[in-house]
Amino acid sequence: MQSNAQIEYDYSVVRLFTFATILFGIIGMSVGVIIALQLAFPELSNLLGEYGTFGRLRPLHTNGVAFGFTVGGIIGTWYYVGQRTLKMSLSESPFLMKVAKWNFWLYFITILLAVVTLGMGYSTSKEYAQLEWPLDVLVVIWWVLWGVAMFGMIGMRRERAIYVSTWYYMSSWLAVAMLYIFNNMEVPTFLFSGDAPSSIMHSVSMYAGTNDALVQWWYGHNAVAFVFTTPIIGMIYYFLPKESGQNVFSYKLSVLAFWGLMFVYLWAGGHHLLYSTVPDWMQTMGSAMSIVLILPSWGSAINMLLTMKGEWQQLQTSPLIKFMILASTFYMLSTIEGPIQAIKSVNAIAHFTDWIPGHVHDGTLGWVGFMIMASLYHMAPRIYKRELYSKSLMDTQFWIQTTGIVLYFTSMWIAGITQGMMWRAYDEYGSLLYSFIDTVEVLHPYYTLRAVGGTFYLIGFLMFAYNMFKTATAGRVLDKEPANASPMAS
Amino acid sequence: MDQETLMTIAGYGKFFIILFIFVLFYSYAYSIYKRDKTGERDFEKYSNLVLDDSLDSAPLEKRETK
Repeated sequence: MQSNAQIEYDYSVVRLFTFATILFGIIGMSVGVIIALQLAFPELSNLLGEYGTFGRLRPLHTNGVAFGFTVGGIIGTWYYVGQRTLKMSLSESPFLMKVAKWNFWLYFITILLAVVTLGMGYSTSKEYAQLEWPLDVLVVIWWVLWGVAMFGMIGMRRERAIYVSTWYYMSSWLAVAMLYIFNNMEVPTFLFSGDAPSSIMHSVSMYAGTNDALVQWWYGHNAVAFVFTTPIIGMIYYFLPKESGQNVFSYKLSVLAFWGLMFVYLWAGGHHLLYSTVPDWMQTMGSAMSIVLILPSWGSAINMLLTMKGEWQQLQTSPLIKFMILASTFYMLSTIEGPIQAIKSVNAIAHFTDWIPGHVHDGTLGWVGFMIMASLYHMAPRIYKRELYSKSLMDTQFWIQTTGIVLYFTSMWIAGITQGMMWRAYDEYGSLLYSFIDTVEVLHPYYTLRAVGGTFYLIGFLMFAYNMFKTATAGRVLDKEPANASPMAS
Repeated sequence: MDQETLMTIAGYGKFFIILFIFVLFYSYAYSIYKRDKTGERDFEKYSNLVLDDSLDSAPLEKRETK
């Protein structure tokens, strides 16, 4: 290995991913607010003809935030955390640099094409796997490129020990590769349609019926696990200790929680299919594994909170620490809420109600969103070599978004439980007390509140985008890289 | 098999799955604790991989290069 005295970490790919993460965040979250408003005020569905309907926009929202915003944040932070903890620079290998750049451009083109094709109505109709087969092929290519870059970087490392964050990123890469390919096994219909008219974009899944449901939710829940959870834990294990200047409270606990999570998560997907046609033992196993998941999840979350032991005053002085600590707290909240919902008797009320999107959003807005924004904020002074533009703007953003999240999940908790109870209510003759429209009328105020909460979060995100843009273009130039706390202008 | 037997089996199944995983978890936790106590491996030093991550600082455990 050459001497590393003159080499520097190369952040060109990190900057590209940072830009894309923010762009797709704005698109995905704006669409989210629109569809929340449509649920509260259905006449808004008629504004753009077929292109503005809920059915077209909802996949755009979920794919935009999951695969555009979140995956962009994950891969972008990997190229940052990976280089630093492995003590190697991408600039040392022209090959890996090329792979990383291809990784970015193919990802970027795929998500842009996803926005266009989903908007045009091309969809496999499988939840969180709506992208049609040509896009699936593209996803596989850039996912493999990410893997080549990741394992190439690991192969070139100077540091023998591999930090726990990298383990989490690796698990994310491996699991998503497996899940994505198996759930998206599909046959393009034009290959077999003969003379019958068939769109080149259309495909049919290789699975059907209960098998399809099983594979779909094995995939669906583990998309939560390996997109919304493990890589985000990888982020917090790097960015929180680094920003606070504290050692991880217990490295041993981080390792234990890692293996716990790996073992248990893949079995929990069955909880999406409780009271369905899948075998009863499978439902029971999904439910049991979901409860066990509390252990490793809380292991990581408590480890993060205790990392701040003796340094809690930083919570008052640094908005960045605030974002990360609240993210960890929301992780605790959603990882106790999920297992509760997976208990069969609770699920009987919760299933198909608004409590489910409530649960998803306290995880995604509070945990995933906060952690990605905090990571990008932490990286900004290092990748642009400039001071963060405005601390007060960051603080305001924090409070607006926190209020937004609280409005979102509390309204959905109340709406969901109300809905579940009304669907089950019957009179002394066994007849249902309420029709579906009765529930819709009762839920209207909560739907409106959800849209307000989502709007707050989006406003905060736009403030974040502005703060990042101003940091990159007008922040005070730093003469040396900050060691821990990120410098920010008041 | 009637519904009640099925539910009973599922109930026992749930209990034993949870018990098995608990045993597995705590055995692994104990093995980490033991390795740390006997000095076989100092896990906590790996926190420094984050705090000291500049490219020109010495690696915590240098890799053998050929």
